[in-house]
Amino acid sequence: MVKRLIAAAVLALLGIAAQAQTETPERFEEVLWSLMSYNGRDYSPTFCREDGDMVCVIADAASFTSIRTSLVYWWPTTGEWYTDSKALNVVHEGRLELRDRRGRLVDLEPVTYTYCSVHERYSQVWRVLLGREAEEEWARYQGLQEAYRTARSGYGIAKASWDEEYADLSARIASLRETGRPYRAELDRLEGMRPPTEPAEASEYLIPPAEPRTGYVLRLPPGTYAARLVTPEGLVLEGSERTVVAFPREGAGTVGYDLIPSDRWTKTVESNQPSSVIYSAGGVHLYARPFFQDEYNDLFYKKAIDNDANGNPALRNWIKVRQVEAARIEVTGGHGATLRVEEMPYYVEQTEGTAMGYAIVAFDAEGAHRGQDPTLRAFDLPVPTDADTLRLRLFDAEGRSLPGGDREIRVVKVAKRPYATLLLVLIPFFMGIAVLAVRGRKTGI
Amino acid sequence: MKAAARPRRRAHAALVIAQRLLFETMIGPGIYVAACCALLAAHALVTEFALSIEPGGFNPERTALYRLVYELIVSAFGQTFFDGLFAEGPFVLAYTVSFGLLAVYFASGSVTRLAMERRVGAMELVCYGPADGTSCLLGALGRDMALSLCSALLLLAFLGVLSLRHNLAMGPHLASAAAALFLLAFAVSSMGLLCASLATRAASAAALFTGLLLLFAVLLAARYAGVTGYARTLASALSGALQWFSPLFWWDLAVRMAERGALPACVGLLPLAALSASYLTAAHLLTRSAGSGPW
Repeated sequence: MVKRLIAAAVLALLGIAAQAQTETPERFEEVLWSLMSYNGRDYSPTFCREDGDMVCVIADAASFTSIRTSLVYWWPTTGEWYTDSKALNVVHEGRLELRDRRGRLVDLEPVTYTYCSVHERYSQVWRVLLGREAEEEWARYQGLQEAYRTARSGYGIAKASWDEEYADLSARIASLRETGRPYRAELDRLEGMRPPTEPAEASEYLIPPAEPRTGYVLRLPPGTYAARLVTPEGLVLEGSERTVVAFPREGAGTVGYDLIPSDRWTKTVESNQPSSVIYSAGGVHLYARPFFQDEYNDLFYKKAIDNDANGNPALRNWIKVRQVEAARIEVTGGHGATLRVEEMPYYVEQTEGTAMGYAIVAFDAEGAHRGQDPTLRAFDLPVPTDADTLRLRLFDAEGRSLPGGDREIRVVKVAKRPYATLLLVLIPFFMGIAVLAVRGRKTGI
Repeated sequence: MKAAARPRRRAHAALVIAQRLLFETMIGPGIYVAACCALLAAHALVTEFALSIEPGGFNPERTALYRLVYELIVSAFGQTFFDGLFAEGPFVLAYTVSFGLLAVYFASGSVTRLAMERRVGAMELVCYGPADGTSCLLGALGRDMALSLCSALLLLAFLGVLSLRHNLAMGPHLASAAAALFLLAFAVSSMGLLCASLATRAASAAALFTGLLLLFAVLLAARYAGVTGYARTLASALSGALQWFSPLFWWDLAVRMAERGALPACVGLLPLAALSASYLTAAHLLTRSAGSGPW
């Protein structure tokens, strides 16, 4: 009897567990703002639900939105909201009406758009294309893709033919060699055979343009706007009302540094504020990478990337935009001389043996690292233990000092008895005792 | 008494009272114990920071104190706040903690003492017959400011020694923080004097002062803390209503404006000075309306 009860209980528990696992989250139909927000470096896809408090976009930069009705659900495993656009995805048409705090109206009509990024040495540059330009860019990209596919197909045929010819000639040489007949001419021909060149994919795009879509381009001056969608019938779409915050980019052009210590490649130290000081215990090489950076409101920036994210409206965050090109650093201090450091490519190698660490070595394009890309381009700043303060000045390719690019590296000294200064702390204490003693003697207490 | 001579007499009485209060403070043990505690806090924060530096930079995990500081600050205010606080080194935090400790000690001492004297009318009766209530307020304020100035100089000298010893930078943020904190101490003392004028007992004056200070501190902390939902709404509503009377709000605003380069620190601190003046005016009017009664 007891065994039966236990078996029934186990089965019941298994049933509950299985139900819990297969339980699908509840879906809600909502009018969403589907967003592709520019984040200063890239585009981030996000969406704003009906009860989302605000839509945040960087001011004076193109972000895209469309208003659609879809299903949303909360996924407790990741703690995030998701859309189920396969089940329901109705894109609403009309004009987007935005009204700023002074009551000025901005009407946005839907446009066809696409965007792509082109590769530069240190970063990517985004191009936003609207209307006919978007269609033309897409057609151009399609043409490039088609040309590549054709070339690839031709290459496949040519390569197969070449492989066949090569195999035939090799077999013929082997046969001639076996029968003792001369094969010099065939061998020369074999050695002179070159395989067909493999066609390269169009490399001008880092991120190619997507098929043009229709939406609203949110390129707004800084401010807060009350927004809603007005349908072609002149009615306000219920659930489309949102507050749009266009937040400004601040501190533009200021330089920040990423510093990678040679003893710990995985632990990058950031020096973002122009007044910040870099501290080190010395005896290390710091690989510095200067970046142009922008400053954004913490809450608004996080919401631009993920509308459900939370941030702090009272704080500001530095966001790295791109590495400073062709710069050079002058280091003064240390042993007196001024050291000019040029940017060099480096490669991170895993060290062998029991250490199981990494080593940053100079990139050897012709030797050990042939065919690979450097891991980082940085300035090697040696920080000796006996140095006190090293002062960095950053210059651009034209030799101009860059604003916010100066830093101090201080080698922190820790005495053998770091608590010896505690004696200074006790001075007021002894003064107090002395005062009380004098007072006691005067008053006779 | 001629009207023109009154301010001069009042200033003289305030000066004499301030000197007397200073003397009394210096012969008591409290100030030395408070100074010891403040220096100890500053010493711990700076020395442990130096011990937390490794070849690759500052690593709070290296020392127990900074592990705790890191966890407290990051969990309450976030990584960005922590990075900004230690961008120049440990001195801004060390100075703020130690000076804050001393300034609150001085102000709360004045509040308790003034409220007690208001009740018994001791000072005028026993020592200074010509002095009135406003002179007593100004005297207490003078005593607080003199002590705050001495504390600031002592702390900066002490931090300078630690800076030389560990090769840590005393940057421009520390200088602006020191100036702003001195003015904040002035505003907090003025607020304390208003509390002393409002309350009828020493205990209620101290409770009012401490309660207000805590409330303003919590509202400021909530501004930077990553609170969400109802807590944020409540904090925003309370801040919206009360922040205009908070010296901490104006101080924070001035510091942030100066950091962003939007306004010079001296201009940003003008509203704080104006708030202090309003506190003092209110305390003076309350004192005068009380007449010669218990004062």
